[in-house]
Amino acid sequence: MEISFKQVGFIYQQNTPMENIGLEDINLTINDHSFTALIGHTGSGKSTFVQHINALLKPTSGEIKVGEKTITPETNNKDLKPLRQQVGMVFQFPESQLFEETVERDIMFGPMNFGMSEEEAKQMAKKALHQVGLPEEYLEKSPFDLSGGQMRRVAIAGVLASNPKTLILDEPTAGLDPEGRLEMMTLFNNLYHEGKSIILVTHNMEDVVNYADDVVVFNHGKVAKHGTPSEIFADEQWIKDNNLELPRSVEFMNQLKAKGLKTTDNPLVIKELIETITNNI
Amino acid sequence: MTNSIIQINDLNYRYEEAADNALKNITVDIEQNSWTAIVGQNGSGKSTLTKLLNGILQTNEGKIVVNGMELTDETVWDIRKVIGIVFQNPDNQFVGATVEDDVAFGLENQGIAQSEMKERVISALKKVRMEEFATRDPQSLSGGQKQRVAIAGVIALEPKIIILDEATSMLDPSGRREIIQIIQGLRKELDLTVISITHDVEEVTLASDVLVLSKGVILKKDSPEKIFTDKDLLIKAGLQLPFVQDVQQQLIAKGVSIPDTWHDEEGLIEEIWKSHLNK
Repeated sequence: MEISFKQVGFIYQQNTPMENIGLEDINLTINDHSFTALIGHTGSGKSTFVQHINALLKPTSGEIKVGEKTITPETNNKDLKPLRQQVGMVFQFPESQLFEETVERDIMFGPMNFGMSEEEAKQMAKKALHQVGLPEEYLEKSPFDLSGGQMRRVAIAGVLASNPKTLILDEPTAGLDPEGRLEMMTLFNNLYHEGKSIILVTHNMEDVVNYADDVVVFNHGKVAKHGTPSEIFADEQWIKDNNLELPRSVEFMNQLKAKGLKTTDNPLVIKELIETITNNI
Repeated sequence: MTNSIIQINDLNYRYEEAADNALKNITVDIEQNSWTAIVGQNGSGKSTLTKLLNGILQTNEGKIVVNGMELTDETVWDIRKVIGIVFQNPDNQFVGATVEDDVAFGLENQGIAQSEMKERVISALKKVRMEEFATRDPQSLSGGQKQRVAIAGVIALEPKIIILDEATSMLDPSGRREIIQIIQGLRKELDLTVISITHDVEEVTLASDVLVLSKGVILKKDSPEKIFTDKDLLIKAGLQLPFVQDVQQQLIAKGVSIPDTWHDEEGLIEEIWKSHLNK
């Protein structure tokens, strides 16, 4: 699904003394079937932006198109269900939102809310649990008997069960151990290759270069830059000025270049870094 | 006279209903003013060990001595005064409506006089560079700032040992750096002993000692240099290589002539450059 923002602005608590700009003049198109990373300092507007994609927040000005659906400041809350079924949102620490007695009931909640029959929802729950790598016998367990990492998988299964076309992930690996992180990122990467669009809010630049093909940098509620990972990380000074980090491989290569190593290659991930070094020394 | 602040001797622990011991024959000394990183996969016994140290869990097998006191039912409260813990989730550890109330909470529990309490709160907030936020609502702070307040709450109680229980795992990279810097500073300034339980290998490289646990057993306790150059150990413990060591090993495997010894990022770049010039 293509997502486009035209002159979108959002003001928190408009017309009150607490008025505060959330987004300003956002013009941006995210292509269908992309893996887009949203980066920027805390408070830069990333989370406000993603909440507009499934109309949890509505713009105070401008227009948003998500597939066939248009969202404007006047959009009625009534007809948003189809949109929210197509755009699945995984919030930070989603495990804190589990509430049902069994894993199965918890995963079924979303699909049934979007109008699936109980039988269909059961089927979807089974499939989604499998997608997140948990065995079927977990369906009968209480979500509260699971480990933190497993609870997070169940919460993600709950979003996948509605079969959204676009998946929005807000720091989905925060707090996980390295193995858990890798498994989780591999899951999202597989979903991407199975045809879903992924929008990932992250502070982790290694995830950006390892998985994303498209990057949007937010700063003070505006889009500061939009491009491929290599375009975004090409300008070290700009990255620093925007309070961002360079991926480790980029930083390492920059230091070697500063020493005098001559190459036009710009490695982004460790595999490319090793190749560049071995080819040039 | 030893300078160990914690001595653990032949400690065993088994959870009720568990088939196997969660900790097996743990014997280790933690030196005063050291920074010990405890690493190991989930289920390795890291959390069990810290819970035993603080008397949250109890065992009849083995002996724990903290700051010269043997841990028993009689000493557990005195030992808890010596050990401060900062937990993983900054949002789960606030009780006060303002930052200063929150830091004061632990002091109130210890019955510290009002005037002294005020002083200690301000001084603790200064140490974590959060004094300007004293009257703010903790919920309005960033993750890194929240953890700094949590650290202030611990420091105000003047512990000798501070345990960071995955305290940086939920923070962004700048928040993480902030916390590490502050703890490094406090360790020097207050002669603190730091024990950090962490999955972040980059954080482990900054420790003075690394304690590697696997399935309830200590595999090794040594400097980060020794730990991260012991390949068999890394595989056994399921530890990742830090970025710099990963690059180094991959280059060596490709035949680049650089030494196999421990280097930081700057050192490795120097070695690669030397190898380049020697061609």
